[in-house]
Amino acid sequence: MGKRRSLYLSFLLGPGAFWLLMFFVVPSLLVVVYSFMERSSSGGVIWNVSLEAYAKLFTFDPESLFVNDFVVIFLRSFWWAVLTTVACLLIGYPLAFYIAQQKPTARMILLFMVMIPFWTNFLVRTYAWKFILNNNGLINTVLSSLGMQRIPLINTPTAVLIGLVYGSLPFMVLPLYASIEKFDYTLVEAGQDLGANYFRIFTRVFLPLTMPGVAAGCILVFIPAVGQYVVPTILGGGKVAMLGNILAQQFGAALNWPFGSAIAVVFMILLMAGVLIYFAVEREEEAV
Amino acid sequence: MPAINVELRNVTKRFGDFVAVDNVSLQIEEGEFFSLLGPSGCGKTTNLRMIAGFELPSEGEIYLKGQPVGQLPPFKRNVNTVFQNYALFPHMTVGENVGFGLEMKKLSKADIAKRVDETLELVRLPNLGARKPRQLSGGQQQRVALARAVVNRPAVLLLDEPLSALDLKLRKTMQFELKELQRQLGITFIFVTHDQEEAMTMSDRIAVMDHGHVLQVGAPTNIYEQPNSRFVADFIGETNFLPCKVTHRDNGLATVVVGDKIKMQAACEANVSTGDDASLIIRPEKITISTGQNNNENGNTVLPGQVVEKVYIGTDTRFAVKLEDGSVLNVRHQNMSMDDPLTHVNNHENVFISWQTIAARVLTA
Repeated sequence: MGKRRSLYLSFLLGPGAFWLLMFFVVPSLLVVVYSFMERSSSGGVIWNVSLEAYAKLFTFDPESLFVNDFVVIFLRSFWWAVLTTVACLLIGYPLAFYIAQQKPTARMILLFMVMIPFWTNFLVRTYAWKFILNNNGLINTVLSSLGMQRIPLINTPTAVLIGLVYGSLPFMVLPLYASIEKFDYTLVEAGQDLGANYFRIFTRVFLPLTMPGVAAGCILVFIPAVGQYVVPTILGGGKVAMLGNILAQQFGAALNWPFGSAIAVVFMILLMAGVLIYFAVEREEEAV
Repeated sequence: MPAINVELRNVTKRFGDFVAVDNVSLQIEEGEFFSLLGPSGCGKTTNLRMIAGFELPSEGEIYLKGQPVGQLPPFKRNVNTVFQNYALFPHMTVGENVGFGLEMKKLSKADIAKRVDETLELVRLPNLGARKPRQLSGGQQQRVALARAVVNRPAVLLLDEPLSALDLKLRKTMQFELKELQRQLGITFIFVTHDQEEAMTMSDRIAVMDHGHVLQVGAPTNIYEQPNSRFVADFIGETNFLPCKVTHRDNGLATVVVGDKIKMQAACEANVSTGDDASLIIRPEKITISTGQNNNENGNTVLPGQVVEKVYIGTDTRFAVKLEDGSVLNVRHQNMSMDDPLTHVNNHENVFISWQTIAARVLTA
């Protein structure tokens, strides 16, 4: 009995556990270990324990604070991820709401359209945006043919944000749709019946009950956005770096693996803390 | 005469080509327990939803205390609803649910707390204010839904089959409690149900609906004893129908011939006239069955027949009796004692059945 059960469990959990171990736990631990090693100027690490990387990270150089250094990039990445999340939420919530109102066939088609971009490589799609935003790109060509001023878009923060929002939107829409679709509309009638107008029904009934979708969407958008590499590289032209760029730089050109690892570890801890706090608050509310 | 609280005047509701409610006019009095009764799809719920404001009438007008409200949104009507599935807000506590309507009216926190407590007391759920709805039983959720509506002191309380999700025993208890609550509060209740027994037990008046029409409005006794149509007679309780032809009518009494053979008299609806093909209805419990012809007194209709089926069900025995013309009547005979000669009647035995002539009614076919 016990033996059969453990066989059954290893059949169900084995592949997933193996995957997580090999491709998540081991690399993560490797990064943590690297961050405590000495830098090797030829790449990789020298296997001597050292806090050099963290010292570098937490030493604030007032002169370089506002230049292209870690703190600025950290704050910028965080801030842009927040902007991206908010923009995705503002675009995604009405969209998900609209899709959830449709008849089943129309719903399927609209959801399909939300997912279609996944069929093309993200890199390719980001290059397509480069074509749209270029100084001689789609937008500026149209503007100048209308006799208007061209606006510089490519290699600006605006371009990076457009790219981030574009790439993240489906990750917001899908979980939002899932929770809006489950919503019981007799609760709207109950709210109206008790004297609530549409605004108050939204804030007191609809929004709280679709909050799990909002939270899931925000997490799915925010976390990948913070570490974005492709979008700032292609649409920001390296001029507006994000966390992903600084990591690439440390592991690449700068050949400072311990420092790159330390940045990754600190950021991982901050994000994990954020998510854990969110779940703790959520559970407390549930328990009432 | 009591004041009219809710009035529907020539109200029609169409959904595309489908007419859900067809030219309905109703007057519901202040403090009345009024039921809308009918099979599913008869338009009773649509009627209720139009009074609540969830549906707007295609034609006609709805008046609440004399004011036209037909086109107002639900949140502008002094009406509250108890929903079939309760529709409690799952993310709010019981107290927050009950206080929601008062909060929307912007009452002070202290006033809300006080009235919520009073109302929870009223529905016999004190001290449960801090729970979430899903932590309560079905019957408790039902009471919270009730409290959430009555706490607002609405002009009318609308109840959409509120007891249908409860088991039979709980339903009986809640029927009693609802009626009691209505008496205590003096609020007009409009109660939608497809359960005729429930409607009979609780209502001051009942409107029987079918296919979007109101067929009859009246007190339970009125609906049961004097149904004005075949549908009402059939829907409420058990009835025998005998097809007949009207040979003569005289005030409230008609003379009819059943199956070209049996001539008899019966009470008669106003819209029946001489020469009509009609239906004679007689309820099984109004028929007396006997082995001898001993009910032959004045005002009684007595007919010979033959027992074709006999089922003993404890409180009564049900007989199926075949008349001379071949039609069969169901008869309920209350079991008085083991000495009752009818206890020993067998199939194919000849018997006499009788009823008070005015207990049978002639309706248009």
